[in-house]
Amino acid sequence: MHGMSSRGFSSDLVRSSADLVILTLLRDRPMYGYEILVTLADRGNGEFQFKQGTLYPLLYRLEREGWIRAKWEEPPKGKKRKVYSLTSSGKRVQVARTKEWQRFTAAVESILKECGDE
Amino acid sequence: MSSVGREKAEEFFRQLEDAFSGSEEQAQQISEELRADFDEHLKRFEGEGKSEDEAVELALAEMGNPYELGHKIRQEVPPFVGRSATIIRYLLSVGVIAWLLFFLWVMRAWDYGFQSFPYALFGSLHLPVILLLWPRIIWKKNWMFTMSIATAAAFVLASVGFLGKESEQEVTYALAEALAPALEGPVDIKGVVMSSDGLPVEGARLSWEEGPLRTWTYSDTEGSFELLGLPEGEQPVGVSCDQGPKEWFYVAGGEELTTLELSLSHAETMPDPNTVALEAQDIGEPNRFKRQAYLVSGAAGIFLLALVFSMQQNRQRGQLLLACAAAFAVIEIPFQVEEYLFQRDMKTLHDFSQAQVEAGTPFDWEEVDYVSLGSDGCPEELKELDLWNDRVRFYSYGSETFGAWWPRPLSSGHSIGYDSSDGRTYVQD
Repeated sequence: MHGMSSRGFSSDLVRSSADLVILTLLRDRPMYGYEILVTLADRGNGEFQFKQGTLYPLLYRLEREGWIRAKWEEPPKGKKRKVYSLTSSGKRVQVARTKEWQRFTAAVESILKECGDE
Repeated sequence: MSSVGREKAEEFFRQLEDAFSGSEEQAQQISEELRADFDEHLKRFEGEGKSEDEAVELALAEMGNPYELGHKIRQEVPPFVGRSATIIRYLLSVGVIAWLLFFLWVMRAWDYGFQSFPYALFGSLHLPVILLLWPRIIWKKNWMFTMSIATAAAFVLASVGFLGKESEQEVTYALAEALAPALEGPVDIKGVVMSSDGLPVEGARLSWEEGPLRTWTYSDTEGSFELLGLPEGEQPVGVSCDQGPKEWFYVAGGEELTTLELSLSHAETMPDPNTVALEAQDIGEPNRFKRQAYLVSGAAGIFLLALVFSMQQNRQRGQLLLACAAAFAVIEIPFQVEEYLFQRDMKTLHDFSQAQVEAGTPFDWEEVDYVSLGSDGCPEELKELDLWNDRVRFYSYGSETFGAWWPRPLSSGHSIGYDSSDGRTYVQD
């Protein structure tokens, strides 16, 4: 997949879960772009290794949708960073998408289990 | 960083900004955000023991292709959202809103009573422009696509507004007529009003007048009437219907029933089907309207809902509806209050006029040449009336009818006129 190193995952699979993954990360705390990349790689067992070409268009789209908001922050030490945080609308979407994803994966698992048993 | 490394990095960001091709301010912000990431990559690779040049190469590789990155970002970032562009957009939006409110205010002053047509038409024409100018409106899907449809819909609405035939329907306001004064003459005239085709005429107005004395009555469903207490001798009786001129008959009263045959056919004596008479308490409706006003208003409502639901955020949907309601209220409520007070004044004048006619002493106020009721030249009887708007100009021709003009306090260039002879309320500019 171009720009999205997900090792064994197909690009369709990663694309369909990208919104949920980013929204879930930002639910914990606001983060800036590079921090999101690193955290994704860490928490995703190294499977999610987004590049800037994937991450930033995604972030700008989520911002345009009104699910996240961006704010420039200048820490006492270090460089000025653009920090992204979840909006109330984004929180609702994250909860809804999480439930949807859980139902979906449960259904897929159920099918795989049934078919595997046969 | 070495000069070669710095040049490579600068080249990367130059290519990125070229590919982005948005405003300079936006490009700088995106570039600044990505430079911070580049520095983080660089620091990490240097921390892993890579040489400076190697670290630059690896960091640039992590960032990806600058053209592709810039192009992808351009697709997701709406144009004209930089600080200066945002300020200009706010100023333009406020300007268009102020213009729209002013325009609707003036349009409203031209009408008597609420009319949905100007709000629907001009609101629909301006709303897409305001939403397009107002920064940070979040559209579902492609905002340009949404706005194209919205703008096209607004122009269709405008076209519909100027098509179609103007309705001929008129609404008149029939104030309850003063009770006919009782006369004490020796002669009664009783009879029937008939049409030229031999049918009884209902609702014909029969009037008699001589000097300061006057009386009138209406024919019933059988066409029968009674004019009581008239002087001896042949008396001129005027008969008028809703349509057609007043016809005169010279009638000597007595025991025999008199038949008054009009030159009008029965159909011609009937009220105009396009005229709807309303009672005094209904004053306040517009006296003319267009059929297409309903079409435009309905379409505008659907259009507004489509605009609302094309917005991504629930909050913005609510804000838009609230803003539309507020703009409507800012214009309509003052005019509704003004017209309510106008109706109250008109009722006061009507009661006053009726009392004068009942007393058999209607004044001829034409002499005072439409003097404002609050002015020095105004007759004392009128000055004593408790009127909200004492700039009203009142006139009468010595009969039971009167007219009045109220300068609109909300719009100096307009007056509301009323003529009790035909019950018309109108606006004059």
